Amino acid sequence: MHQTLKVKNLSISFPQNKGPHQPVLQNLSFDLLAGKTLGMVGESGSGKTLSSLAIMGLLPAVARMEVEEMQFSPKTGENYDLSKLSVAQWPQIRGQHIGMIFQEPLKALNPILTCGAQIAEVLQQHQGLKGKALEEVVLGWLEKVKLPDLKRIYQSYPHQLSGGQRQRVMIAAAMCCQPALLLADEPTTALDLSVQHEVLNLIRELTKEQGTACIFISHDLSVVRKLADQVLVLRHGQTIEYGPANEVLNTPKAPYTRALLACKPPLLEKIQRLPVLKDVEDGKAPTPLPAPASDANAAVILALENLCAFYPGSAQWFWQKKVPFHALDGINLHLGKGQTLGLVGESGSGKTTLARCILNLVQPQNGQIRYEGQEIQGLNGVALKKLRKKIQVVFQDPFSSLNPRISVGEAIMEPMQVHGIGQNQAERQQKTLELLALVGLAAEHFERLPAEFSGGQRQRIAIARALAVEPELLILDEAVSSLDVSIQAQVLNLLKDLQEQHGLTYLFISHDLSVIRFMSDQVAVMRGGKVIEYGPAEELFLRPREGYTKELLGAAG
Amino acid sequence: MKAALWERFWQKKATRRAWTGLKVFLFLALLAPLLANERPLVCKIEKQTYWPLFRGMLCDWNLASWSDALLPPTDWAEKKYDWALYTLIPYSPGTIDRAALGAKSPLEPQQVKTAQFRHWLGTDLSGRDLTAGLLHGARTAMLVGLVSMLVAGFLGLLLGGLAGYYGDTGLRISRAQLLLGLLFLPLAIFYGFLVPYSSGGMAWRILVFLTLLICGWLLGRVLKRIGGAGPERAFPIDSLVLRVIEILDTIPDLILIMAIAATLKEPSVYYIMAVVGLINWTRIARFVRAEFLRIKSLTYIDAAKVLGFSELRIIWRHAMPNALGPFLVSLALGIAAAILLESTISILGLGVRADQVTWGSIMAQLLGKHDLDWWLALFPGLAIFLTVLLFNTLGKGVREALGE
Repeated sequence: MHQTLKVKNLSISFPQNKGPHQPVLQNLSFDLLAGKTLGMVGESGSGKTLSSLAIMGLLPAVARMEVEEMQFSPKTGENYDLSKLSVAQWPQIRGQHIGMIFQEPLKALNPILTCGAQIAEVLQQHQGLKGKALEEVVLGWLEKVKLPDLKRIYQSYPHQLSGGQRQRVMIAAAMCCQPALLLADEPTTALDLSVQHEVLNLIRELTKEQGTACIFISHDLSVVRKLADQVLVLRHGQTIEYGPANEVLNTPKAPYTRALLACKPPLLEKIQRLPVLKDVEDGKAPTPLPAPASDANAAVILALENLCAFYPGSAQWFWQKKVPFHALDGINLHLGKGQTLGLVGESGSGKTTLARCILNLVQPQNGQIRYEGQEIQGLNGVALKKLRKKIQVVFQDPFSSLNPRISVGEAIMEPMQVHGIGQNQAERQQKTLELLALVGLAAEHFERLPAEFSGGQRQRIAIARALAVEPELLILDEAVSSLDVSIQAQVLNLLKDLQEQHGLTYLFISHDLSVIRFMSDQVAVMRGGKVIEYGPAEELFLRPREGYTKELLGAAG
Repeated sequence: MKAALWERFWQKKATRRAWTGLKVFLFLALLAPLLANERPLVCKIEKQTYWPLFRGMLCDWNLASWSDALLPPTDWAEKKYDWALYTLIPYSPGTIDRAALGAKSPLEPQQVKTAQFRHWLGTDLSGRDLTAGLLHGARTAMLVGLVSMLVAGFLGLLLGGLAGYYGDTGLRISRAQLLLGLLFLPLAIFYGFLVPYSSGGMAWRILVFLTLLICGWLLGRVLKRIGGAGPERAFPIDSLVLRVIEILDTIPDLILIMAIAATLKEPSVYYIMAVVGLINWTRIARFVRAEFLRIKSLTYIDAAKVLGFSELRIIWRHAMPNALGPFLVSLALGIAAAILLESTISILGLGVRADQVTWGSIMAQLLGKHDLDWWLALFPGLAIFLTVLLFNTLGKGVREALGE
């Protein structure tokens, strides 16, 4: 078996405003044999995407690249030095010998060309196929990536397909010239769990069948585990660990790798606290304790009865009938005081609409939402303001949930001012400092603007802001989904501590089953606007009744 | 972040130059009466010392009266001074030099008392000094640019912001409030701006206008409180504003101005400012609307709603400051466009009174003349060109600093 790619001491640095170049990747070395898969793992900012761009010759012009050796041989006897290729030579390599799959297929596909045409273009360019023959090869590839209804998909535009189908089209376009090397940059991150599983299987099958070497980039170790032969762990641009997959993933040597594996909550048991990165690295990680059983007789604080919400649909032509889209279709849920209800579902299942209904941001068309026995729909004026104080939310995206022009301290003080909490500014300021300390931020952060903080820090600021009005119910809408695992563990621990100290009630929305498992007392599984399974977490995870729940658990575990 | 923005703004050489240019322009415009004036700064007549320039300013503001020796109408150049100290250019924009009638070129020999009295940039057809005219023209240009954009900016920010933030469904008002609005808005415009008052200026008119609007709004509040306002319905403010913008944009600017100018008894630079402002708000409103639409969908606005903030607070403190960047860009570009438009109007002889000097009205003298007095076209043209370039560069600088 011959060696497809050999990279030795690849370093990349970026110019700074002042001072020397900032290194973002240092001395990356690896070898890749034909037909093997290298899993490249790291958190955001570790340099994994940059290394793939360097191999493709697509680094931004300002970046400075130094490399000792970057030898690419698509066939035995054919050698290219990727670091020395000219602009004219690259188009023969890209697409022909190196294929690439991106994270976001909707952005990577051209919206004004049909899917078939986009695959055909690659074949036309590199293999000179034309007419009927070309179409047949394209249809053959659509079949190979297991798409249904080939003729229709060929004629479809990217927006007419689902996320999983789009990613299959991307894979077909990347693989159709039978490249020697496939670069896959987080190809399943934007997909739903069940689809993720299928796409991973497809990539594995195709690369094995074609003898393609593959570099698979991901932040998720459990995904890499499924298909990598070798694993390379990156952190802040430095190689932490590199070796055969089963060795790195089962008996990791580096503390950081161990920590990454430990920070993800387990699916099969509920533990009290998650180990965080620092503990594991210091070797002081406590053995996880099983969490105490939840109180089954907690007083009901929030009750949803037969909740229905639909959005007016759109019609392509004005004479067509508009079909309303049912986002929520008869939801019945109860939430006990001081407990956590986990809400699981794939994208489009109605989780977020449910949260927005409870928050009075969307008016449901039918059904009742009762908070402490009182109907809260259609409240306005003073009554609504009083309710706002009791129910708070933390949103998914930490980058748009804070006003970029208002300092962190002010952002936390403002709600107190509006709701008349605290006697005067000095008292509120004092309380803000306490809140900052509570979520693990320092007093010196008070004056800073949100742009100076990382995603995890911003999410903690958003939690502090929500807590400023002393709420009773906190809705967490995918609040940890965009965070790296190590930071996710910190935030989850923080949420648990807060619940214990303040007796908070959580509605915890996530697509990640292991996180739900860690947090929840009760779990509801949603699909297509309906709750299809609802019960105590223990029961649901160990003995799922519905087929869909079993499918989700299977894909996750 | 604010510091970083400023730094990025400074980074470009062109922007820094434009910033300096703006300061020079404002300096010249504000101090024009102290730079070019026919009245001497200090003079001695029959052993008595006078300060005609400053005295004149006080007299213009009714704070003092002329002493007998200086009583206007005075031909300042003909007075017998023991000695006199003049400003840099010893001419006012309206001063007629009888020795230099009929457009004297800056290059031909001139009959002047001393070198200071030379017309460095020549004179126009009526023998007025071109340098003084240009300096005072900068004043008019600045006034037109800034005031018209104040009007346009206010309307654009208000209407564009409301349209973008509320859309067609967000703003809910009752029928009584709608009727009150329909009644009081025309009333306020009529009594504020159309009825002639014997005394009081613009400030008085604005006061009347605002008082009537606030009366209407209060009446609506009272009706709502006692429950006589009826049910609330969605008011399609977005469609309304967009339709008004579309209608205004279909009318060619110059034709609209000509039509308005034809109805005015006496042309005035204030009408020009108002009209230019009323034409230019549409572009600003569209920028602001787009920006509000973007901001509205960001989660921090949802977070603010959930935290129980009032609509006014959300719009004022959370939405608007983040929409200001594109607003400032369109404002800077709008100032340039307004100055250009005012020049065009003046060249056509529509805007200002014959004795008022603007850059456009200097150039207008060339219309219908057969010989080419190049200095009458070149210098005001250059002034317009530089000023427009200045504001465009500033606008571009702001846009690039914001990273768009």
